[in-house]
Amino acid sequence: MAQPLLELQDLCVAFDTERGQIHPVRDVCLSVYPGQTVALVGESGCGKSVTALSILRLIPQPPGRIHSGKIMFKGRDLLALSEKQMQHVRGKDIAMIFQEPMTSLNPVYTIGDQIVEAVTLHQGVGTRQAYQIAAESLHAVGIADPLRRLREYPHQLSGGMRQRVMIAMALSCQPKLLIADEPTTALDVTIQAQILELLSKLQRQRNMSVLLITHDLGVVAENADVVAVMYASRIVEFAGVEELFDNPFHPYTQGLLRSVPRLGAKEGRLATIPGTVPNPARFPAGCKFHPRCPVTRQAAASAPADRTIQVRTGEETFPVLRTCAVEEPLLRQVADGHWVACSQVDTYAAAPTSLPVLQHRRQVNAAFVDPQHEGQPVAQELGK
Amino acid sequence: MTQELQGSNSTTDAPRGADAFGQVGNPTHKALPAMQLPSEAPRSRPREVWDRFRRNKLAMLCFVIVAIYLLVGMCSFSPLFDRKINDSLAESYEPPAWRSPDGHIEPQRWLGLDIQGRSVLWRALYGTRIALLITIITSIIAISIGVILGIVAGYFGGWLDDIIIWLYSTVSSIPWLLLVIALAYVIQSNDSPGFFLRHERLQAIFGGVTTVILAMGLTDWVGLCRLIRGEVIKLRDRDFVAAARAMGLGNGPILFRHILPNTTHLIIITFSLGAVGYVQVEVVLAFLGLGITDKPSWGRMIDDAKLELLRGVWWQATVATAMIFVLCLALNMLGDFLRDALDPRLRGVDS
Repeated sequence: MAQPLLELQDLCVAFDTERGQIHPVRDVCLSVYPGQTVALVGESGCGKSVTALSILRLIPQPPGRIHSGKIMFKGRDLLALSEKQMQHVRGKDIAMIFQEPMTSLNPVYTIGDQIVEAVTLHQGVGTRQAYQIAAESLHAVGIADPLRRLREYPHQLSGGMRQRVMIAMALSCQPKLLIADEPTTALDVTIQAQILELLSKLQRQRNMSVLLITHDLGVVAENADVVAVMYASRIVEFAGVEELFDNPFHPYTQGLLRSVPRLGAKEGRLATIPGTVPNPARFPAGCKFHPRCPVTRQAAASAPADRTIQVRTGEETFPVLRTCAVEEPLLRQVADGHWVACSQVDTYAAAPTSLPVLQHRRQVNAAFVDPQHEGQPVAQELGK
Repeated sequence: MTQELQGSNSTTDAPRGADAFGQVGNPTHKALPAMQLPSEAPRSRPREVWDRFRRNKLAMLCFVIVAIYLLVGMCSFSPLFDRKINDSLAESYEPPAWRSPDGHIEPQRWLGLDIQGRSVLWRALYGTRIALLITIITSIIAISIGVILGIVAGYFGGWLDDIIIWLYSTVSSIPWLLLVIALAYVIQSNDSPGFFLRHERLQAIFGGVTTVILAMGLTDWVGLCRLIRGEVIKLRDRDFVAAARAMGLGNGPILFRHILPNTTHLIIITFSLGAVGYVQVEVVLAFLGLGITDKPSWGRMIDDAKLELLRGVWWQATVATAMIFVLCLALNMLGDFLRDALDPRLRGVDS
């Protein structure tokens, strides 16, 4: 692997609000290599969508701005480009698909018109040829009868098909990087599986990189090569997917993995991480996770009083380690290809969690459901 | 098919109970149609709206009425009308009659003759030409101004929005009728700066209509501007706008290709209802001597009639009023029906 395709270097994004300046993204460092799928995982409100939007500079500038840092794409700093140059990058080199396929298409134009708009914008071909390209890209995403579909309106398609159309639009100009912001969150599980499989197939075909933003660890396990876990505007863990699931170091990551329900588990209650994600306007000092962290609480219980500090969350008051509450830890390499941002990382071993539901790939019964062509009824099977 | 099913079962069992359709037989023997999805032409949005509209008989009636007015208006540009409105058939007033004094059935006498013996029927029909010109051109002017200002204010926000809000708030605080009258005086009078608006070529085409059109068009954009601004503020945060921006489109294409077409329902309704106001204000302007003075218009006919009524001559006023009334009624109802037909919530399958 030579140069990274995309590299975020200490990216900080700030929003100026009446309540002061808030930072939804702080010191984010991330790299995506060609052909790789990088998953950006985190709860709602941790800053993953803002990160994605700021790569394409889609943050509305009056309240928001890129505070500092660099976004290197193929050796160029995207933050130094003018808006006009940025418009050439968007859609052509970097494409993005959004969470809500139901509303991502303009209701007054046909599907064909919208894909053709994307094609003619970036490829400078005539309209007739653009319609050809549009039909081919619809076929590539597995939509049957593409020529008919080109003349249809968005409200005539289902959610899964609309997301496929969005993917077709995004891919019609052969981008090097696809940013997928929770592409399947709004879809049902079966369609989710189809869409993700489609994405990975297209990715392999075109050697495209994908930045997959999601909160679903199952999706991450099936589709990602590298995982970055985000919490409260920072990346707290960064590792290859197998390494992360085998040896999660950060207490937050461990908490996330523990809270995934397991088939056949006999526990009465679902394990959760107590507490809630902090409000960006009122971040706690030090490590942002310390009010909820079991490791620091446990360590403080057996530490001398001068190394602890009292912390109050809501109703309870409990001691945590002073370092955790005062210093913000930086990402440090703890193993080959594994970085963690935790000051206590040397003091505990990684807690391996074996989750049977994540260990095997989904078996697709190709005889019954053909993921290539959506809409083929089961009756076709009986007819054979 | 029923025969086949009965044939296959008859030897063995007693006939099974009838299924939901009253047919006896084993329902699972019915062969599923192979992959035959019902083919329907994709129904575009305008098509859908039209179909919904068509089902409403009253709406279609209003549409037909407006269409008739339009047709008559377009025909009235022919020289035939110019002749007929000036043909004097008698000395002076004649009440409506089926036949001329010679005994022929003359349609032009059906609505009576005016003070110079001219046919009220032809004059009233000619009035549709004026009404047509006024409604269409004034609407074009007012809608253009309103849409452009509304879009710019809604999309860009900031100081531009503030200026436009100030502008339309000021204009709308002045009673519209007074504003129109004042502007009409300015345009019409010879020694005011508005004189340049009365260009000779325009005068030749439109007659005194220019004054009326400009006075109304330049002042009636406020309502639409507000509506469009509100709609654009809603639309600019929609996902498809974000997706278009992520695709690399600039502000111009997004504004005019993506956002503007989503506001056309407001424009159509405003056009229909605005026409009503324009026709009626023309009457007021005619009373004040502003506007059309040489050619007959409904407003002028009513203005002339106010003295005639004292002498018992009722037909000119009645006819002109009736023409205005029917048109405005049809346009009003059309506007309401269009609003219903274009209501996005009543759309088919949508999120």
